[in-house]
Amino acid sequence: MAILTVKNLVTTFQTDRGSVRALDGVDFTLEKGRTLGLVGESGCGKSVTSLSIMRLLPKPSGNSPEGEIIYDDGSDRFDILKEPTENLLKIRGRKIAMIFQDPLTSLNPVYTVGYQLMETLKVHFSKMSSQAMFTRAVELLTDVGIPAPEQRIHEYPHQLSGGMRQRVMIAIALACEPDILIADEPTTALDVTIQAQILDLMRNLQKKNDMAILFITHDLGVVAEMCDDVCVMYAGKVAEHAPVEEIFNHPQHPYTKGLLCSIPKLDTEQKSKLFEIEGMVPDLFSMPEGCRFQNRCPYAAEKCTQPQSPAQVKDGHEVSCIRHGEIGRNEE
Amino acid sequence: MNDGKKLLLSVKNLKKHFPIHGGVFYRHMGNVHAVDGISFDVHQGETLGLVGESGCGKSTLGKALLHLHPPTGGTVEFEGVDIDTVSVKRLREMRKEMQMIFQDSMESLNPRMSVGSILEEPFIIHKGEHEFDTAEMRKTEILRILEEVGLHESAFDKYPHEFSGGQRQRIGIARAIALKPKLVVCDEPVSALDVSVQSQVLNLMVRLQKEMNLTYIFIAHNLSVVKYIADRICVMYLGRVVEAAESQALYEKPMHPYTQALISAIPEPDPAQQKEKQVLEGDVPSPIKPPPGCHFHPRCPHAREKCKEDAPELRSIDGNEGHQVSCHFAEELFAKAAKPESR
Ligand SMILES: Nc1ncnc2c1ncn2[C@@H]1O[C@H](COP(=O)(O)OP(=O)(O)OP(=O)(O)O)[C@@H](O)[C@H]1O
Ligand SMILES: Nc1ncnc2c1ncn2[C@@H]1O[C@H](COP(=O)(O)OP(=O)(O)OP(=O)(O)O)[C@@H](O)[C@H]1O
Ligand code: SF4
Ligand code: SF4
Ligand SMILES: [Mg+2]
Ligand SMILES: [Mg+2]
Repeated sequence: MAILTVKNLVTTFQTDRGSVRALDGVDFTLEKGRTLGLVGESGCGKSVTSLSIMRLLPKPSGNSPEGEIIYDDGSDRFDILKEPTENLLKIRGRKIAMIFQDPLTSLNPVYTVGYQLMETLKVHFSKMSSQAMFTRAVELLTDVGIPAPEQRIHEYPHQLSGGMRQRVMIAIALACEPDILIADEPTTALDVTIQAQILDLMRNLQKKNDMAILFITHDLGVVAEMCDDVCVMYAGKVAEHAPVEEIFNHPQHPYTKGLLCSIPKLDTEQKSKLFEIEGMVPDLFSMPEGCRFQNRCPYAAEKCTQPQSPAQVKDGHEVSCIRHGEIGRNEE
Repeated sequence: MNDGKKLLLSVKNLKKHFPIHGGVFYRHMGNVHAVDGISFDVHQGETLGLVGESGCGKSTLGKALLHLHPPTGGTVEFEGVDIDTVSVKRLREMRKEMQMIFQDSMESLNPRMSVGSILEEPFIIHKGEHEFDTAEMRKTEILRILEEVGLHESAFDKYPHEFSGGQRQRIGIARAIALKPKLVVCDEPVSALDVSVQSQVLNLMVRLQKEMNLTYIFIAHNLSVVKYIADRICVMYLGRVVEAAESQALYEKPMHPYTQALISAIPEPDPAQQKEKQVLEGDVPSPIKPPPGCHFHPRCPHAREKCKEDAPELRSIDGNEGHQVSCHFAEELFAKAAKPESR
């Protein structure tokens, strides 16, 4: 069951040079109890997508997003974008929680770790005693693998290493056992042994609460391991959306193919030239007509300047490339 | 082994401890042993990889190398000069040769400065030490550097908050290479980048290294990336080096149980090839009160009584000077692991 349906999401920012469309019609669904991976080039709009869902876009530059973001848990159904601001506090944390990419800017530097954890608990469990809250906070820090939690709970964010701050963020996000967890690069700052623990932790919580996870990462290894479905974004649009095996075994979009070739593997020869997708993402102010990947795509042709719409390749596998039928065959 | 390459950096028994204060009277409650006696040499043109658990002291080590915060003990020699003993002025000049790319690009870029001014700053600080004397020359050079790191010319007039995390990291790289340094300490330079940009940046870093004969200290936790770029790797655990080897040897014959766990935990980028992982049990110990004996013993599947009391030395194995391990039972464990039936 789709607990979150994002339809034609358009998010614009006002900048000194005019307004930019960071998201240009993003569609996807997030299923209950499943993990959807959101991958794509830096700047393609992954964080903006999650901030739009959380209604946390920076003011005043970020305008209210257009489109629909339908939350539906079976008993409660509403469009997040139409909810009045006063309802948002209840939605955030309890229904949808988020782990931010940049823990330093999202943890408040002037409060201790414990204070911030307990504030979150207070919003949703007003009846909990402060003793119980403290115990719960220590427990949460223990769960995410913070050493000496009774001491660390009294520390400020700057006293923690990058990875530990990230674990504190995870503890805060999981504090209220949300239905949807949006995790923006949650393990990017962690080493693999702790990453393995945290991924385990997230999977366990997912099983326990049937939690849906929107998992933003650029580590395709983590995607392969964690995700049921994958949504590949490029320049503010969805390029391809499919179950994880499909993405890895039968990628259709030239960008997805390039992405998969770029990963250094353990057997890649040292300091040899890695495959790279030539060129760079066009500036948001000068996006080409039609497919936004044109200037870098080895298959670009005349008709690529036409508007692109997602086509279904298989059940559950959609691709936004007008030439996918012509180029998909040769590499299978 | 180093073919007569010049020794650029020599680190001996380096320590960095942070005091911890707390309680009602803000008393001194102990020390974080962030870096606790680390030694290594790096030759010019080489890349030394540093890997290890979050909080094990990689960033602290990186900063201590550049004297961005003074070490608590030990020495760092850059081109034969002990940087702890030089004058402030000389240290500033030496900084031109030693640059750093930070882990947290938001933290390290001044939000009130345009990218153009951020990149011009090093040229101004080191005025007279390079050929870009006029503002116009500097701008031309900065535009060239921007292109080199894959950013648009239009970035010149923008501010850090207008970029995504990954784009900001490229600004940090641009700033670090602007003055053509000898040594660059790269603190997780590609961790915030998606794979396609990562391969561009890694290609760029390898190319720059060859062209400029750069020496890198490369901190990362993506082991495939470290293996790709590093000639030698030091694996750190709680402020100490537990294993040091040529990168190929480290991946083929990891000897320390922690290194073995690290390599086993690398996520496989193929949903059909998911392997059984060796997930380490137990909490990460606190660097405030590190466990006695071998720091790794509470999590080590092979720990014995001796490990709880005696701290193992970092020592060469099998007379191979290039491969050092800090484990009492390295030979024995490795011999066991090498047998196929015990897999
Ligand atoms: N506050 C803002 N003002 C103007 N533009 C912005 C703002 N925040 C983001 N953008 C732009 O929106 C686009 C999407 O940014 P976003 O942070 O979502 O990227 P991302 O996919 O999360 O990248 P990364 O992988 O680097 O984190 C970028 O081009 C960025 O420059
Ligand atoms: N200014 C400081 N004051 C007190 N403790 C500090 C300070 N800076 C770092 N530490 C502590 O020193 C230890 C090492 O931190 P460091 O940032 O070097 O780790 P790291 O290996 O870079 O971790 P990560 O992979 O998470 O970035 C941690 O326990 C951290 O909490
Ligand atoms: S539409 Fe054209 S340019 Fe875009 S990805 Fe497909 S082939 Fe390439
Ligand atoms: S010395 Fe003992 S505890 Fe430490 S790594 Fe070796 S076997 Fe494990
Ligand atoms: Mg982001
Ligand atoms: Mg660090």
